[in-house]
Amino acid sequence: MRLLHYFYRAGGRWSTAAQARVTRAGAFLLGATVVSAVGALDSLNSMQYQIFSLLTMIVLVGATAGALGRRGRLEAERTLPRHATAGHPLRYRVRVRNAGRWRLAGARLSEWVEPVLPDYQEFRQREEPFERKRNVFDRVFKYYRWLWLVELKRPARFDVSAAFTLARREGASVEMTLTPLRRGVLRLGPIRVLTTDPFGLFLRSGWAAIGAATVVVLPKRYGLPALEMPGSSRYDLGGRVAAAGVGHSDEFVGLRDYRPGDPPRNIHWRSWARLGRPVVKEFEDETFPRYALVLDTLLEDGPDQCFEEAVSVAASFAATLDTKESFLDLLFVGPRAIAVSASGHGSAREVENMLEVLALVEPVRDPGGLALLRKEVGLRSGGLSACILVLLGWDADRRALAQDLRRKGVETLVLVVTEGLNHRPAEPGVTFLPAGMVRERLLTLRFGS
Amino acid sequence: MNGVERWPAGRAIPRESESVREPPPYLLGAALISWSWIIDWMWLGIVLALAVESHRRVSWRWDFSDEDYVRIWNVCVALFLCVGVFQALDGRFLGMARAFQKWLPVLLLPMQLAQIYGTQRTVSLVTFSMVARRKRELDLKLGRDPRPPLRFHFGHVYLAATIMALGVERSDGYTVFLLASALILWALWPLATPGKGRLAWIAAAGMTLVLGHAGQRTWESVQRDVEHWATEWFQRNRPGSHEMAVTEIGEVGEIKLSPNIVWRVRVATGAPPRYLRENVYRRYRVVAGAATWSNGRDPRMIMQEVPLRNARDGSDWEWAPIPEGREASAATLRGRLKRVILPLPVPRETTRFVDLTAAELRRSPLGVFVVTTDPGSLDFLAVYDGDVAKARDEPPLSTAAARSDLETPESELPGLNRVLESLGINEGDPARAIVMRLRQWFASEEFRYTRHLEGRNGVEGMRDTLITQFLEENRAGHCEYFASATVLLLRAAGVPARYAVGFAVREYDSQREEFVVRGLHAHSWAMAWVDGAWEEVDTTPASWETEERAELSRWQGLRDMLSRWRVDFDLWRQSEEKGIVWSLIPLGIAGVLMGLVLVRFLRGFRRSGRRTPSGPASSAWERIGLDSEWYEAERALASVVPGRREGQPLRSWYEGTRILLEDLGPRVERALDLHYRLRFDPKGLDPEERGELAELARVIGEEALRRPALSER
Repeated sequence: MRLLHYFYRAGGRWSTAAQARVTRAGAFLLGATVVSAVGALDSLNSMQYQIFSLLTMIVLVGATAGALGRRGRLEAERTLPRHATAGHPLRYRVRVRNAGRWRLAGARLSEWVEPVLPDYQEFRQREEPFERKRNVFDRVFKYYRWLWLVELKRPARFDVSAAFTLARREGASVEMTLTPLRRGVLRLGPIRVLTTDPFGLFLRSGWAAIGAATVVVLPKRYGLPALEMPGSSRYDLGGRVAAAGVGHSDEFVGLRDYRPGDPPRNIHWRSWARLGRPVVKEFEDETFPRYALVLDTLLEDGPDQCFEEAVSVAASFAATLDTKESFLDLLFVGPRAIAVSASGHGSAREVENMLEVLALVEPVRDPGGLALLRKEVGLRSGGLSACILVLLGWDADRRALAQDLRRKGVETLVLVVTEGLNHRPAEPGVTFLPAGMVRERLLTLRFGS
Repeated sequence: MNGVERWPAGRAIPRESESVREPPPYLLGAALISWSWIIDWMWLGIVLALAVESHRRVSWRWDFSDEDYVRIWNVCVALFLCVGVFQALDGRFLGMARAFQKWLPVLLLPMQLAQIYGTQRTVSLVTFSMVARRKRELDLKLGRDPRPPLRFHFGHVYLAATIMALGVERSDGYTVFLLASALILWALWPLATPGKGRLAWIAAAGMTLVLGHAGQRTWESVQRDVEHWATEWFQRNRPGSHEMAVTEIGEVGEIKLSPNIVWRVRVATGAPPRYLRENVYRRYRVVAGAATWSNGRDPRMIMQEVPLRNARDGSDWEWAPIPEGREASAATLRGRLKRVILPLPVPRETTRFVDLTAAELRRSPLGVFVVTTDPGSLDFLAVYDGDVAKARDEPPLSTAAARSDLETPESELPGLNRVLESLGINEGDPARAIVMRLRQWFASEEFRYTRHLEGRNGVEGMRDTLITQFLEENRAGHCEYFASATVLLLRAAGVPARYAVGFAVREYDSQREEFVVRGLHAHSWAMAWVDGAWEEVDTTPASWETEERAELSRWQGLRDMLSRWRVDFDLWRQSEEKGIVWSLIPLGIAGVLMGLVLVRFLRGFRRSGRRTPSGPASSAWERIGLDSEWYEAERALASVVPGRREGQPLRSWYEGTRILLEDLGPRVERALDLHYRLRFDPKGLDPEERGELAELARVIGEEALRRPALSER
C-alpha cells in the first residue's frame, strides 16, 4: 500500500512536471517517436528507422531550443468577479505588461495552483464511492481511488490563454477562463508565462509578477421545475405592486358599512354620498409567505459526496424560489450554533449572500446537532407557509423533524440525498435523491408529492 | 498595487477560439499519395486523397454522436481483423504487424471520414477502448463524476499512421526520408510562432534535417553491426532445430503427443511407405541433462548437402532416377509446414518430388531432404523405391566423418558391453545375426512400451548412463529409448548404425483411401548397415501403436475434419487454376462481414436518429401541406378582411374576422378544418377531401373578389 502510494505520488509529480514542459502536440510527437522506434529495430526490412531518426531529432532540437529559449517576464493584474459557480466556466481578464528586456513572442498565460496530492493516511483510509463495484485488479491497485482523490483536491480547471506577442514595455489585456470544480474560496496564486520552442512542442515557463486573488465559488446548482409553493401569489403576474415596507402595505379588499370604532380615515366618502350611509374601505394586511430551507449539515460518517449534493440542492432552492414575494430562511447547524440566513422581499440580504453562506458551509459532526435543529425549526414553524428539508439521511430523528412540521400544518418537502442507487422503498412525502442522479430526480419534483 | 495606471491597457487578447486544430489543408492528401507511391498502389492513394480532402468542398455533414464514433471504430477493428485473418490463413503470423502497418491508411479510413464528414470536431479518447468506455459508463451511473475524457481531432492520428506506413517497405536511397521529412515539417509549420518565430522554425527544421540524416546513417551502420554479431552468435550457440533432436529420454512423467493429423499419404502406385523419415542423426550426447541426437555442425556434412535439380519451374525436383528394372512407388503427401526451412518427412529412398513448390530442396548425405518454402500447406507426389532392401544413402565409411556411425559414449560403453555379453553377441559376428538377435531380445516379454515414466528413471547424477539404466533395470520406455539403445548396442557390437526420426505410416482411412499420420505417430527407429545397405531396425514393441490409438478422444473425428479442411482450403487457395472464383471469395467474405457490421451500425443510427428529432426528417415534416389551396383563399380574403398578423395562428385570425366574413363564415371554417388536417394530421387528406378543399378555396376566392374591398367600406 505504501509502495503504491509512493509510486502514484511520484507519478503524479512527474506528470505535473511533464505537463508544464510539453505541449499536447509535443506529447503526441513523443508518442509517435516511441511507436516508430518499434518498427525501427528492423532496419533490414523497413525504412521505419529513417522516420524514427527524424522524429528523434525533431524532439531533440525542439527540447534543446526550448531549454535555451528566453523565459517571459511579465507584470500582471487580474480583474476577477467576486463570485463564480462550481462547474461553470469563469471568464476574466488579466492585464499584462512585458517587463522583460526583450520582445515576447508567442507567449501564453496559465494559472498555476500547486497541485495537492493525497497523503498516505488519506490514500489508505478514504474509499472511493462504490469502490466495491470495481474489479479485483482495480481494488488491489487502487489506482482509481488515487485518481478520485487527486480529482477531489483539484480546485479548478484552468485553460491556457491564447498566444500573444508583446513588444518591450507593451501591455495587453488577456482573456482567461477557469472552471471551478468545487464550492468554497478559490485562491489564485502566481501566473505562469509559457513560451514554446520553434516547433511548438516544448514549453518554457517564466512567472508573471501578480498578487494573489480569491473568488468565492458558489455551490453547483440544479435546475428545478416550476414549483407551486403553497401560499405564494401564483397566477397573479403583474397584478400587485409590492410596497417597500414589510407588513405595512395593506391591500384594499372591498367596501362595507361603517361600524363604530372604524378609523374615520377609512371612510369612503364618495360611496357615503351615493348611498346616504357611511361606508368604509376594508383592508387586509398584505402578508408574504415565509418559507424555511433547512439544510442538514450533520454528517456522521457518510461520504462527503452526499453532503456536497445536499448543499447543491439547497443552493438550487435558494436561487430559484421567487423571493420577490416571499421570505426564505435558511437554517443549518453551524460549528457552534444554529445559523440562520434570510432573504426575501424587503430583506437586506440578497440571494447571492445566501449562496455565499452555502458556499462556505462545512459538515458538522455533532451528535446533539439534530435536536438543536429540531428545536429551532419547531420555534419558527408558527410563521411558516412551507418548509423544504434537505437531509442527509432518513432515520428516526429526521423523521420526527418532518412529522413535527407536518403536525403543525406546515407543508413540508422532504428531500433525502442518498449515496448512489441503493433503492429504498418509496415513502409518501419523501423524495430520495441518489448522489449522481440528483439532476434527473429534481426535474420530476412536485411540491406535496 | 500593481499599478493599473502605470501602463495602458493595451490591446485585448481574446480567449483562444474553440476551434480545434486539424492537420493543415492538403497535407493528408499529400501523405496518402506519397504512401501509395511507395507501396506502388498509386490509384488507391489518389482515391483516398480525394476522399479525405474533398470535405473542404462538400458542405453536408453527418450528425454523428459519440456512440456512432464507437460504432465506426468497431468497423475499423473489423477491418484489422480481416487483415489479421488473411495473414493467419497464409501462416504469416510474423508478417501481421507489417501488414497492419502497410495498410493503416485504409484500415483507419472509416474513422477519418467520420471525423471530417461529421459535425463533431473531435473524437473522445474513450472511443478507442471498450474498457475505458465501460468504466466511464459505470462512473456516470454511480455518480462518480469522472473527469471529461481527452478529445482530439482524429486527423492527427491518421496523418501519423500514414507517415508510419511510408516506411513499411525496404527501399534504397532517401525517398522515404525526404517524403517523411517534408510531411512532418509541413505538419509542424502551423505551430510556429508568427513573425520572427518563423525564422527560428526554419533554422530548427534545417538543423533537424541534417541531424536526422546523420542519425539514420548511424542507425543503419549500428544495426548492421548488431545484426551481423547477432547472426553469428545465433549460429554459434543455437543450432537450427533440424540439426539436433532433444529426446525425452530420462524425463519423468507423461509425454503428450498431439492426436491431430499432420500428414495424409495417398499411395498412387506400388507399396505404401512404412515410415516417413524426417531426419537421421549420428551423434548421441547428453547435453545439459538432456539426451540428444545430433549431427553437430560438421562443416563437411553441410558442404555435402546437394541442391536438387529443379526440372519444371520450381515444382519438380529430381535427385536420381530409379534404376532400371526397379519398380517405382509413388505417394501423394499432404500436410503443413510451420517454418521456412524444414526437413521434409518423406518415404525412404525418395528420388523425385512432383508438384512441390519450394524455393530450394537440398539433400544431405544422410538422405534427409531439407526444403525451403513459405510456411503453409504442401501437396506433392513423392516417387520412391519401393524395395527397401537396396538403399542408396551414403555408406558409412566413405567419409572422414564416418566414425560417428560407430561412436558410443564412454559412460555407456561398460553397460552396453555387459548386455552384449549376456546376449551372446561378439564383435565380429555377422551384422545380420546381430540385428536378428537384438530384434528378438527387444520383442521379448522383458520389455514394455510406455510413455509414462516414473521412479528412478533418470535420477540426477546418473544421466550419463541413461541407456544402461534402461537396458538393465527399467526395460520400459518409449520409442526414443528403444531406438537409441538399439543404435548404441549395434555400434558397440561393431555394426554402423544411425538414429532416424519421423512418422510411422500405420493408420489407414479406408473411406478416403489414404493413410493418416498424426502427431501421435511420431516415431524413431534405428538404421543399421547390413550387407551393404541401410536397414531399418525398429525394436519398439508393437504395442505402441494400439496404445497411441486408444488415446483419441471422441471429438477427434471433428478435429480431423477441420484439419483436413484447413489444409485443403490452403492448397486450393495456393493453386493457380482456381481463377476468378478465388479472387471473388475474399471479397465475398469481406463483403458479408462489412454488411453485418453495417447493418448493426445503421440500426444504431436509426436509434440515435430517434433521439434527436432535429434534422432533415423534421424539416420535411414542416413542409407537408405547404401546397394547400387555402393559401390562395387567404390571399383573396386579405382584401375583404384584415390580414393575418405574422405568426398569428389561422384559427385565432378566423375568430377575430368571423363577423366580417358574414355568410362566407361556414365555408371558411370548413376550409380551415380541411387545411389544418392537411398540415398536421399524420393521415392527411384523402383525394376527395383534397378536392373539396380546392373547391372551397376557389369559391371563397371568387366570393371575396365580388365583395367591396376593405378600404372601400
